[in-house]
Amino acid sequence: MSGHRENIKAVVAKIGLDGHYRGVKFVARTLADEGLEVVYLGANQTVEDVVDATVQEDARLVALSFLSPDYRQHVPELLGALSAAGATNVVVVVGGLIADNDRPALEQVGVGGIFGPTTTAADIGRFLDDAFPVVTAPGD
Amino acid sequence: MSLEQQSITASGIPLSEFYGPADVDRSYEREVGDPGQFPFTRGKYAGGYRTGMWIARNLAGTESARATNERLRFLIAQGQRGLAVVPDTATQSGFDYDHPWGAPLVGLQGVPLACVEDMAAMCDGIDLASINASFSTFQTPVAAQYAVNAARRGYEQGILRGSIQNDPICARITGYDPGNPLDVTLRMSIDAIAYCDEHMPRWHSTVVNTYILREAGTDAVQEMAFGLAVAFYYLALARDRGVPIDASAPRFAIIAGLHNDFFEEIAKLRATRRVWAKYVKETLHARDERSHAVTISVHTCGSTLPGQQPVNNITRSAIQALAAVLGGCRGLDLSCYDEPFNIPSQEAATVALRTHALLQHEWGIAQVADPLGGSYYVEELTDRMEERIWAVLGQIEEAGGIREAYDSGWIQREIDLSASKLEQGIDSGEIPVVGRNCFNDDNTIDDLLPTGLTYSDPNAEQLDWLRSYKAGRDRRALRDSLQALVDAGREREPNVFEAMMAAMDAGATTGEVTGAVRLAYGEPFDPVGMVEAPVELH
Repeated sequence: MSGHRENIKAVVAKIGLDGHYRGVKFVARTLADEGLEVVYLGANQTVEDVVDATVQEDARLVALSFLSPDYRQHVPELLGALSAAGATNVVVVVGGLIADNDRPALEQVGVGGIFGPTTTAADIGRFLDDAFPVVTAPGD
Repeated sequence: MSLEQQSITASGIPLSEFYGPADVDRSYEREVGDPGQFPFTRGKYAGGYRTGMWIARNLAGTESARATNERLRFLIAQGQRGLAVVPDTATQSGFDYDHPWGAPLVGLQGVPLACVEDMAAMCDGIDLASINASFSTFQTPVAAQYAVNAARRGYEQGILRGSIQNDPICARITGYDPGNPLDVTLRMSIDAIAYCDEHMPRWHSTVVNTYILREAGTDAVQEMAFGLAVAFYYLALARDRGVPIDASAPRFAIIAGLHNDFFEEIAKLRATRRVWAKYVKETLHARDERSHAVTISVHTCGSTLPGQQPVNNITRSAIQALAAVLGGCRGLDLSCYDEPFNIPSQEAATVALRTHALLQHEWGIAQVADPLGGSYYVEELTDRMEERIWAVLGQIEEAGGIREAYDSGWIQREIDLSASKLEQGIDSGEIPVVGRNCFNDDNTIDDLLPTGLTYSDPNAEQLDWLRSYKAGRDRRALRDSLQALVDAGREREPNVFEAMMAAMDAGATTGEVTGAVRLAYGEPFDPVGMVEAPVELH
């Protein structure tokens, strides 16, 4: 549905030490294919880096990838910092290796979607359809 | 969906319907050679696996140095002599595990090793003269920890056997070394090669890791061409540092990935030994046969194992392992069926070890060296693979060499293009992945094996220990040795690996010695600006 979400920006990043970037690049490409404007920060970002980019770019979606359990520290920190910065109209999603028993805690702090290792581009597309329905312009 | 047989390999080599005597147009002596003979296409040893069975690598590294020590002793009691140690994420990234980025991960995906005391605890009661200790890490200071601990225990350094990867370029390309510019890590790595040449000649100073290049998305040709270019670059740098090729080359090894295209992967391993032999002999002018024959170990590619119907991953790993063996690997490490979800569970790791046992003892595979040698198809594919590896090596040369190809971003762009091509192929169904994009209409076997992911908590006790250890050090000795390391780094001549060992002997940690070399190169002590040097350095 490329072309209908071009006014929606997504910040895509990895926070902390883990450098496995193949998954996060896949997510960045998929979001771009779905028509979002992607701000790709890459790996080894700090919480502040992600908050700054989200605020500056007025992003509506923040997509983070973790292959290590440090999401348990960085994700709640990020959500706290986003709300402190007044960025409340933002959907934060995480993907990668997220333990089943950590999911409730992530959802409780406001994570809007959790994507495990079986995720396909089609799954991401379906999530976007729900979170950011495509607005059909009159005459389309 | 494309389930017809393809007329092209995974990396794009066109295939005939069959191969025959008409395709055999090569000099056996120059291009193939007997096993154990130049150019080592058919393997490093004349006797193949009769000369020595491949080493079944069984990675260990957990929780703490103490807990890992127990595991290593157990493995030694089982008869294992080659120990394969995985450090935790902080250690692997060149940070101490009490760094704000390392602390949430202490001991969770490997063993935390910040200082010589950690190494001593991990090696406690283990006879270092009778083992081969291979460390799955790019971080050069880990080798310094090992050497200092051995010296403290009175071992002569000349008898130490083992390896670290010591491969800063592949580390940088794949995100395993987030903090350090190449000038810093190359200095540490090349000085380590020089130090080992002089003092630890039985240690494998460098293991070039093409496995992670493959996992980052390269195809088979790029994997080996990029990796070989990196290896040849290190050899040339070490030569410029005074290490003769015939001293460094025999102490180099490659750890390669093993992906899905069975025959192409076998041809890849054979062609890699041939390219190595020709280049090291003819371009770098190595005279010693041991320099011409490179040791290749294999790690089967975890990225080929989908999360759907994970029981099929046992079959996948077994077939990939078979290809590795037919390609003449000397060490082998299998990704486990739960790879998409977790570091291996004990059950998954045991299944992988049993796969080795099946390959070694049930099927008669290891009896004759290079059993596929002379196959019309395999020899032809080996030639085509070699040709394409040389072509990419030529492109790198034209781009100004591997360092320039990295600095300009060319390598990373090439990898991203290949990765995205592969993912689009899987997404469109053009590349079949059983259970993921085809044969996925019935869920009978989806949950046959437990693959659920849970993490333990970070090892807080270990964290406290390191903090109090750091606080209790002799600050003067620490300052003097770290300052000496900074000074050594600023000059061209002194060996920073040696200065690093001295600092670690005085209590300095991995993060601190790396920080000192960073300062010497005009970089901040901590790459992310979160911690200060423990003593004043200038």
